[in-house]
Amino acid sequence: MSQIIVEHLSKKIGQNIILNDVSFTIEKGEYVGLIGPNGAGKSTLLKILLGLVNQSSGTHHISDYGFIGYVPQQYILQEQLPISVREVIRMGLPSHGIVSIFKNDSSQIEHAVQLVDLPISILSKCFHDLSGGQKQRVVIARAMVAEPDILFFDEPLSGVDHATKSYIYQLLAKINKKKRMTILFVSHEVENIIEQSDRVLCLNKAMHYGCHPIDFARGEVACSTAVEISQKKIHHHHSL
Amino acid sequence: MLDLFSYDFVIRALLIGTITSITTAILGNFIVAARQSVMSDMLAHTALAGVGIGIFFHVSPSLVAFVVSIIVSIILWYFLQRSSRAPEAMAMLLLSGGLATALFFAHLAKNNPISFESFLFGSIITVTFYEVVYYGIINIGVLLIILLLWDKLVGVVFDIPYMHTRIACIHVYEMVFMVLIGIIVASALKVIGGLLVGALFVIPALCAQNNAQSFKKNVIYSILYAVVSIWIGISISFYWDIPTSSSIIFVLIACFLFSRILNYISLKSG
Repeated sequence: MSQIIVEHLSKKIGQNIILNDVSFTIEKGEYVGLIGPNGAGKSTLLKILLGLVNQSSGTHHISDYGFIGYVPQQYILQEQLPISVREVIRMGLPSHGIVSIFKNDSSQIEHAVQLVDLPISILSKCFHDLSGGQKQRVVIARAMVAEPDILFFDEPLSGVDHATKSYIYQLLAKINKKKRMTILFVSHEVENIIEQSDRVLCLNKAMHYGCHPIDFARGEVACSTAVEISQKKIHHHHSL
Repeated sequence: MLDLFSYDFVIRALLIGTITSITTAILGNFIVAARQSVMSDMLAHTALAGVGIGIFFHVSPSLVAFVVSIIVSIILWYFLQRSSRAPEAMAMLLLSGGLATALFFAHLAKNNPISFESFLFGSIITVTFYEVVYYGIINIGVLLIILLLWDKLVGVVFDIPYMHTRIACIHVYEMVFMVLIGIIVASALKVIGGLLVGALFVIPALCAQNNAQSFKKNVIYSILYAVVSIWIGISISFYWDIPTSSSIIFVLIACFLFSRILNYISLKSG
């Protein structure tokens, strides 16, 4: 059975149709990209899967997991008071109450910070003093620190320089293969995501007008450019 | 200096002042981080309504203040969850409603021997031994809950959308956070006064903010600032015969200026 099953999922807010009859499945250990134009409902779809937002109709089911890691589109860390990088990453770890204040979870946190190519010395720095790209990587480290079975990434790479972007895409592909971690990656970076992922799903604005959502790799319905690239990918796989 | 400690009422004031300032300083960091400073003031005003009701009906004012404060903090939490109205505007509604109720009952009960003013502006030097124990236990209880829920509360105040993805019932912890503020506000009425309690929450966190790099350090520094302010404030009030709550707040503001200067020097040198 597939690990993530979404069936006929729709979301309306007032008169606005955000998602219309979306269905797809994701297997355990798959690295799936989710693309689509602005306003296609990509973030909303992730939020429904995470249980942050309720769907208007349809069902979704996630099985066989201990922990879901999540990198939000925007991190809304309050900037009123200082918080260290270590404290931000610790939010991703299971809570142990009073013990966690004295608990030595350094090795897990250090491992997570190294995963995103940041020096360990950054842990004691104030999160708000970091650059945009560094903050983004810390937020990714927070999603990775508890070694989740499933990772949801919501366009997390804006504000990260090109070299780091490629590095993180490759890193995720590596983790995906090594740990059989299921990854659903919402992205605008069509070329990168096609390059690294097993399969690309596309949400098209066309669905607002009653068309079906698109599962490109399965070649169901189309939205011009992405289908083309995705099909290349399929051919590539077949030729392997 | 020694004669300060020869009076029992000063010892009691220092004891209850110290324990209250530790709790308010810790909770204050969470309040400032969550941008809920107005909420603490609002809860203080509604707790005063509880005092007014208590005085009028001849029930323990501080007990009624606790009950009203806890109920209002849950109502406010509910509003924050459900309502699309601006939270600070809702807080203002409850704030003025609370103060109006307080004024109403205090006026009706003006012949009652219990002084409403002592809850309005605080009267730490009239705190009895029984009250030190009573408020002391409440403060220690709240401190233990904060320590037990530390991680969750940090998540709640800094990044609630993210915590929602981690813990399904995170809003329950948000409610616990609001109730803890309500309890401590009600317990601090006698110590610092309903109109001034907000300062005891917010200023120590602001003082520490200028020098700390992490939330934990910010909490530790703010405790130091708060306890020092209480001790110096009570001493100044004792020797110069000025209202204790005023002198405590003045010292807190002086601490804030001092921390700014410290920050300026460290920036210059580093």
